[in-house]
Amino acid sequence: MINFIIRIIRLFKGLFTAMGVDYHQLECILKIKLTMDNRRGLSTSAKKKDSSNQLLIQSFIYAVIGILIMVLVAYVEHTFTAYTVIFSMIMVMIAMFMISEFSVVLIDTRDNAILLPRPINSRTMTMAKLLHIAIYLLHLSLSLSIASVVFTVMIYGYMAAFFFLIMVFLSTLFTLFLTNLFYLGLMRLVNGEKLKDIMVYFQIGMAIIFMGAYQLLPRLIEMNDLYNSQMQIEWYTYLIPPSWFAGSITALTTSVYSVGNVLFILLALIVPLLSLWIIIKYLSPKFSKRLSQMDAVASKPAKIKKHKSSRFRYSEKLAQFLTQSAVERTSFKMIWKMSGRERKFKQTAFPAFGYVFVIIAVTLVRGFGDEDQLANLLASKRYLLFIYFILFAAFAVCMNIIYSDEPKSSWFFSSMPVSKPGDILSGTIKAVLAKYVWPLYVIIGGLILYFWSYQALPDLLYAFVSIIVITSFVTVMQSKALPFSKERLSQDSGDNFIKGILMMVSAVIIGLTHWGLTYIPYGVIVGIPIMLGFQYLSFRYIKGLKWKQITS
Amino acid sequence: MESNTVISIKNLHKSYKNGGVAKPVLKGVDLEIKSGQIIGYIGPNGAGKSTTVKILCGILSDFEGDIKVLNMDLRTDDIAIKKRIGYIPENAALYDTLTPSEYLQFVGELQGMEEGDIQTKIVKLLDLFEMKPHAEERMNSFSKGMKQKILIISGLIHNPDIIFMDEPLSGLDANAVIIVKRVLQQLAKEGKTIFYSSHIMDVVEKISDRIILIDNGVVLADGSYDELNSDSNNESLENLFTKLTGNSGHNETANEIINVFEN
Repeated sequence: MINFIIRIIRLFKGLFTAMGVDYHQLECILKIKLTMDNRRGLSTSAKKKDSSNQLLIQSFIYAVIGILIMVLVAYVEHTFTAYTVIFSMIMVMIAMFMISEFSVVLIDTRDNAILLPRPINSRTMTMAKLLHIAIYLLHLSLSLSIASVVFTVMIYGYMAAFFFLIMVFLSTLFTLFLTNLFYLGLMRLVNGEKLKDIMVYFQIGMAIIFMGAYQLLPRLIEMNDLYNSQMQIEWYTYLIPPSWFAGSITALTTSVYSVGNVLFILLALIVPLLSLWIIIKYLSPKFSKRLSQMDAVASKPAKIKKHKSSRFRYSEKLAQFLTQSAVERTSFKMIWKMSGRERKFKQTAFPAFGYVFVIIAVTLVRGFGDEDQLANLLASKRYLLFIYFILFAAFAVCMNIIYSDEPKSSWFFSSMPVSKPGDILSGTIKAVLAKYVWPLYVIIGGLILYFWSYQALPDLLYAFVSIIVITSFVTVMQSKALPFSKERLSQDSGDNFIKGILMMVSAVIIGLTHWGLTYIPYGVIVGIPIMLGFQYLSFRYIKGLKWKQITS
Repeated sequence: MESNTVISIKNLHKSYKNGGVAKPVLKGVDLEIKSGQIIGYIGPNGAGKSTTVKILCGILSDFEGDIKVLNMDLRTDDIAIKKRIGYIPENAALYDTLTPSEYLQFVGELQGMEEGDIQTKIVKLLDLFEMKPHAEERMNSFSKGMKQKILIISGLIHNPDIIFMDEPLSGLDANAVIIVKRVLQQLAKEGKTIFYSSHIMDVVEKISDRIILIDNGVVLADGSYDELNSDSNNESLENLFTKLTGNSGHNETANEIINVFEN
């Protein structure tokens, strides 16, 4: 894949040289950057041979997403509307990808120490950076649009597909411009560390938006309305970038060159090319300059983030109340603080909380469709489903609490005179339950009490205990690693996927057991002390774990 | 500028903006450095050492003042200068998903070296630094010392005239430290200039021909160890450093720390 990309770029060697770029250095930088991207997330012990091809895997995933987009618009009769949807999707996906996935690559301050002291002229440096981004974005946008190209060929022929590809290229350029502006704006406002924090929240937001869109859109949009809809062209349509490209395609496929259509073509051609010029001339050098200052500023003493005095804090009181030993208490307090600051943890665990609300919103949207449906919903025990959705978030936090940005710093656990490491794990589980799971329980439980009234109370109490039991048990069963002690590797993904499935199965079993108990008179009430017994046993097992049972 | 002056710094100012406030880091530094010298550039944390090195290596470009390196203006001839300097940074800044061979090949190519020359030097230098068995392993599994060795090789591979080093010996084992010190002394004999920024006083004391002490963005002392020591009674550089930077009372602080443990 890398060699193929390099071969294509080599075709433009003359052009680059004429632009004052040192082509040899350019190729050299690109090759290294692509090689590194291809190895991101792979095992540290891996030898030179790459064990997977990240780029190809990504292409495949985006091609599938492209097919899904195509399925959505394939039946839209109005050409302009269909292509506006396609270009909107492509541009939004590219922008989101740039911000969420590519930030690590883009804001790589190692370049300051490695590339800046080398004899590389600014044109070569700028072009290398731009091409590196462009390769990714084009690879992404082309993967996304493969299905649309096939669709365009089938409906309008090869020439239209060719124009479509040109428009995809131009829309990608324009999105690159917009995201560059976004980054520069952010870099003006915040320093390096804060920027990384913001990126993490973007990634979380993006994951939730995708899940939400996937679940909600088909339910909210009446598909027939979309298929028959015709976007009216108003004055403001000319301000919406996806419609420039859609308008151009419409003009070229229908051969209607009205004033409006010509304006679309002009906007689609001029604005992206103008933005490319602005990027090369102004934005990219500015970006590099800000980047070069970023770690210099970061190394200077900045404003120190002060955390509240811990003496009377809520977490302190909870730690006193929920833990039995000093080790368990220390572990509880440490996890409480660290889990809110570890980026990798937040990035992987927090989207699950968004999903829980999305799933509940979807069910409610369906339920509130009409009065009959609402009556049916309130007469049912559907709230059990809501309350056990919490397990989705609970498992996410517990599964990810073992991973860290700095796994090596977990050395201190084993250096401490701790005879019962199980206390560290039980403190960890209690902290994540108290900090993340119980607040979610309170919100969802409150909603349930509001809609279903006090009759749901025994079920809520039973579910509270059973969530603790299953979360603690499953967490320890899936991995007995200490908190924040492991590096996340892409090889773990498959393993974690299977674990995730097993966790979900256990959630379904515990939910069904609860549902079954509701059919037995006083079943749920009798079940509460039994579950408390299980909870006691589960924590006794965890606290009794020995060092040799802990996975390093 | 005299003929053998390789670095000339006049009235160098630099400030960092943080939270909208400009914080001056260098406040008018003037230096003349001649070829073949080993310069020990010392100072407390935040004194402006790394900033000076980063400016001289062309990493930071927005500074005030005039800098000439190898008789060329740093602002206008930076590419030509960068071909003839080597930089060994403070932190192990490497593309660590690469192997040492891949990384050094990359650096060699960027420095404009001949392919054959790169390969020969990689093999020889990795062998001399006892890194040959790890040549094809990814560096993300390396210890700090191993990474530091690769950084040192990458700063020297193209045979630069001036070598800028920012804490180059951190993480190295005793044998490697001795080797690097000898290499630096040998390179200086061959006419290369070494700009050595460090906190480790005894190394600076032993290898430097000239010591420049910077504190709070201003040069406080400049001269050979003997010159700096002329008014004192054969004091160590560590003690001189303490005196010149106005930090005394280290013994009292140490005693207080012990008291905290014991009470």
